[in-house]
Amino acid sequence: MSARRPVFEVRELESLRAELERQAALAAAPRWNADPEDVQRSVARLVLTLVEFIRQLLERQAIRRMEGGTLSPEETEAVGVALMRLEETVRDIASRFGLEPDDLNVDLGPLGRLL
Amino acid sequence: MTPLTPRVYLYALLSGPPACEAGIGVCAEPLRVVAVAGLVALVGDVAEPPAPTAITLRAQDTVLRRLSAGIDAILPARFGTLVENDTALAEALDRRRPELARALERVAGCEQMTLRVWGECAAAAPHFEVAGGGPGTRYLAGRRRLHERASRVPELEPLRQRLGDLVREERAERHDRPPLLATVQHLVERGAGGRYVDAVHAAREAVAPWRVSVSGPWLPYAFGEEAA
Amino acid sequence: MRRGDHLREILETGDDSMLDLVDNLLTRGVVISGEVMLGLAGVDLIYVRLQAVLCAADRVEERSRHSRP
Repeated sequence: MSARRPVFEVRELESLRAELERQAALAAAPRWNADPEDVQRSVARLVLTLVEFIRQLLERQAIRRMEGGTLSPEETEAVGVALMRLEETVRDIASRFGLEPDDLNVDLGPLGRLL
Repeated sequence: MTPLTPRVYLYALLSGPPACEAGIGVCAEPLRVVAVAGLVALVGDVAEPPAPTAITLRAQDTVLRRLSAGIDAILPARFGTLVENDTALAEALDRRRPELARALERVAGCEQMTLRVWGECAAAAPHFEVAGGGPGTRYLAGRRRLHERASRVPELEPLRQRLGDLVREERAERHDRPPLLATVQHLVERGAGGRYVDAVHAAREAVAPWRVSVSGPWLPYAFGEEAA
Repeated sequence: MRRGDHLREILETGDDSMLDLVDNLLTRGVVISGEVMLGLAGVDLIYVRLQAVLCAADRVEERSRHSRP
């Protein structure tokens, strides 16, 4: 039993390869090593990646509870404002170090299921 | 952790012991089947995890296809999944036992077809207005819409109608990086691949301006998780 | 990253039937552990098994209600 081969146009193939590279890079076990040439930026990147990771976990859980009706309207508003500010703060600090959102690579894949 | 410590490489979870002899794995190691945390796992003892190359990836898929022939349900593990020993494996699986057991039931007697959706522009997303609430509530509602949208592929609606109940379950992921818009996995009954591909070809015009490509059948790699 | 190099090589030289194979095996199989390796100067120093550290709060509270005193 062999897989049927799909037919692609060249541009589509390139786009698929790029996307898979991106996803598979995220899926590999993350490693952090400080770049000795720019320790500050490396540290900032690690810290912001961790904060962004936690922010995404918090956001997912908040949405889950909002959907499940276990957050009061006041709690929903308070958590929403806090998450909004957290997102802005991460973006601001990141840009000060020349970091893009993509640099804070977070694949919640496996860990998203821990919740 | 020294590189010479024998480690346990996880290939898949099974609904029961395989009908045929387990044979050898990707590193030419003998495969063994072990009942662990109330689940059945297919493992091999390796000194080092295999590196992902064209050869090893194909070899792993081949090993699993061979074993799936005599088994009702198989849940492939991610390539490169290594644990220290059977005890560590039991611990890791125990944590997720209910979901994994459910996943095995879900994929029983099924295989996976993979669709890619191509186009220059995504279909417009429906816009739901959120009544009332302060800025925080609206923000959270907006994020919720974003999460929901991430797994909706409205472009496929004409095809879904033609596929009908050929499709048991769907897992979708939007990329929105033209021309690659989304990837969709469909769980179908084993043997339904031919009818599935025919339906995709028949729906070609209906799905325009988007284009859909299909591959498969595959083992149910994407159905180990609950739908988002 | 060594793994990234392997992957790039497959994706650049493999035929298009490899793409879905790579996608299935490397990004879609069941994952049973989440882990991070922290290191300095290329030396792996700390291994973190994340699922031992993270769990939804309402599940934790539910568990503590059911746990023995």
